[in-house]
Amino acid sequence: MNMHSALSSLRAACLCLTCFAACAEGSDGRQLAAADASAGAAAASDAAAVDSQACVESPRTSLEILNACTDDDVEAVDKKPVLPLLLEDGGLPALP
Amino acid sequence: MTLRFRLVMSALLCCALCTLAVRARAQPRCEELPNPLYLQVGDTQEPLMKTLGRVLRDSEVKPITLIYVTSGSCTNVEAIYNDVPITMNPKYVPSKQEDAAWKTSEPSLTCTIGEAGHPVDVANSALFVSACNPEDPPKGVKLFQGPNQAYAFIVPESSSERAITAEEAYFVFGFGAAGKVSPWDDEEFFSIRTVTKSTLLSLAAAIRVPGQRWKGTPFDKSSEVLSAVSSASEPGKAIGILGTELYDRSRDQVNVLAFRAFGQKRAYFPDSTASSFDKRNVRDGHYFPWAPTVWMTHVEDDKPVNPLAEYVIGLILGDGVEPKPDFEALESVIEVGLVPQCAMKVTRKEEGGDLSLYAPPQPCGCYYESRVAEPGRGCEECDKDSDCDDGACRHGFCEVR
Repeated sequence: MNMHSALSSLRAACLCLTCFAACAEGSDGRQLAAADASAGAAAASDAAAVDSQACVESPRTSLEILNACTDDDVEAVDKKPVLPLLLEDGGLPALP
Repeated sequence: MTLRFRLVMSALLCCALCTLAVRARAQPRCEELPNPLYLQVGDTQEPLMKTLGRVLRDSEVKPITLIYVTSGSCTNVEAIYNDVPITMNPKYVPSKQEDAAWKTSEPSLTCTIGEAGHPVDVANSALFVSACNPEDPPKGVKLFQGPNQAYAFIVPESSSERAITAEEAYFVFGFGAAGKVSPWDDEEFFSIRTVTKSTLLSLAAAIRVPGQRWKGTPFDKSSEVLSAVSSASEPGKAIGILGTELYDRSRDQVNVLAFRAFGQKRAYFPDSTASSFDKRNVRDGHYFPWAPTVWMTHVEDDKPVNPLAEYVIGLILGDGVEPKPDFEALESVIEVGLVPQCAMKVTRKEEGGDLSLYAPPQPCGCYYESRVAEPGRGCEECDKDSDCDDGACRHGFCEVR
């Protein structure tokens, strides 16, 4: 597998994951918030490992809108913070 | 005491008395100002009060004096819901005739309120009202959803930090020092707002730390946050929160942090770059912490009781009003850093809620872009609808509808 096709596969996988996360959203706002928090944390910690450049061409869901492709002149910042209290599964612990 | 000394002292006393007399004369009674409209707004909306207030005072077709006080959004909601009058001396801006040199960067003037105070004609919440009070508004009060404003985390100019993720902010403001997030590991340097303020509540929804649980020093006014952050003794550890229209006026003192929401892969500034003013990422949903400004007034049969309130709310919302103003109201809204609904490409229904794609019924994206940067690709200038291949000519540009 060459680099190009590997990247394409990776992007497709990201898109699927994003779509899956979006499809998993329920109508209950709280449920959605909890799902987002967990998905968000996981996505955050894994972002660099997956492909921080991956973006969604035709966004429809909230998560896709956040990760939609932008024009080249838009400045995006990549950050991999060290969060010692993050749970092992990438989720957020309850507030103290 | 020599004669010369006595003369000098007398002259100084005279000057002081004269100054006091002039100042006393300069503070009019509020009800004496022409066509007064009393508003209670969030302090993030003061730039709009000044900018719109100035053109309204100078209007020849419908002069109005915006007389306003600033307070927390949730306090403002309760004020109009429960008919709490304005009792402190409010502010207003001078007309050009009164002070031609006055600029919006200068303080407003103050007028004297009557002893019993004055009812609030228009109240403002700079976030979804449901974030303050989940109940429906009382009968006789109507809510109008106005232009959007973004909120941001700020750091001192000398800080090397450029971004914050939602997870980081969760630990910083939800756990304080115990969150162990470097460099923001000392609560003494966290400058936040009190729990009635839109700035805190909107960002609270974005990072999922309830407003009452935030760690840091709560300030009553945005200007106090700005001062605390910009003058922090350890700039690397300092962080604060601010509405972006106030940040836009303070870029020489603090920097905004790009924000990465939960589930987002990269962090974005409210604007397309750290130095631009286009709010592109707010408009298209890449920047998550924003909320509509909501304008509330008393209504009877769904129509505002005070026609001046109806007129001013119409101007802020970008609706057609009669008589047509002799200024471009949308320009005032854009100038202060707000994003009119007609320039948005996304929307949401609750504070910190999901984003969805939005196509405004009467878009103004090209006009908006022309005011904050260069008009985008495909934006053609026009004088009338027939100048446009498709769509309509609105505010001098061909828009898609």
